[in-house]
Amino acid sequence: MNDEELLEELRRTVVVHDPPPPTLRAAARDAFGLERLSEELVRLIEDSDLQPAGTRGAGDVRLLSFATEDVEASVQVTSAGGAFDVTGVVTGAVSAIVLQTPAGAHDVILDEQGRFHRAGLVGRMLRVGLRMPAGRTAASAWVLLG
Amino acid sequence: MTPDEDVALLVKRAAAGDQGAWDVLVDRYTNLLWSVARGYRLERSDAADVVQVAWLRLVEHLPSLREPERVGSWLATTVRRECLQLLATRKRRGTTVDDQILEGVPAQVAPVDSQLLTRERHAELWQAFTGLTERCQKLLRVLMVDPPPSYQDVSASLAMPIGSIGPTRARCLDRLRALLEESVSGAGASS
Repeated sequence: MNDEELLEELRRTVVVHDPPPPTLRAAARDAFGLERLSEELVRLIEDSDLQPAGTRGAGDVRLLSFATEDVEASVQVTSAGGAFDVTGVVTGAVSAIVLQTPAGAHDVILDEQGRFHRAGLVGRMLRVGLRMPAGRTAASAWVLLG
Repeated sequence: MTPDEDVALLVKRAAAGDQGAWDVLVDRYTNLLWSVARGYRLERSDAADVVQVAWLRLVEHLPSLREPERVGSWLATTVRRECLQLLATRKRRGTTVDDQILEGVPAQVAPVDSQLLTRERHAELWQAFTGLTERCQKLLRVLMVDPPPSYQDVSASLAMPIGSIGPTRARCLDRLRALLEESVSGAGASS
């Protein structure tokens, strides 16, 4: 059996033993229809999961900081059982924060100190958007919460 | 139209809002991305989430992709990086990498249906495959993808220079043959 024949046989074997989940393509197709929050990028400037072990964060808590040139948002994500809560604070001229998951986007109102909280978001993926004066918006890249 | 031009056109059409073009990209690359993620021995649910994040990120990047003809490589690189980060997160949070690897071995996560085992050759081949080194499993998984990825995309999927792909492929297939022969002769000796 030559290399091509062996690979072809292996291909048929993998199809039997480890096929992609049937929902995978549908989810990828649906990604195209999600609300596009903004083309201006909010950069991820700090992530507790990228710190050396034991220096920050604990358990299923993840600390993320995002920034544009004039605005910064610090976010704490607490995951439990397929859902997560988000608590954070924003500095700069931000009127509202948007927390987006593949299931939908939620506007969250800030208090006078720029703090916000939203519980019970579903899934493991999050994108953070910022609504600013004069209709300006910016959004982070999608984060897999792990 | 060359394959590169074809892909670049699909990206351009998707960036202009064409869901049909997006769906073609999804059909073309999802199996590749799945194979990359499973090559890192992520659990199936983790692998699915990593693939989903790559597609979500691509939606954001469609208008600004500098080399639209290389969208497959862009997606594969995104999946590879997310896999590494997820494994690091798991390790950091105390789920040992060894646990993850055990969970990721398909024969152990998914009890093999006895009816499927009637195709004995497939079972032997799968067993031999899982006995290969992680590097070989990663490479062969990606090379087996339908539709077959370009060498550029294979290179991006594995962070492996294009020039190494052919020789490594040959060595891995030789090793697979050796494992198959050992398996067959071992079965013969025990019967």
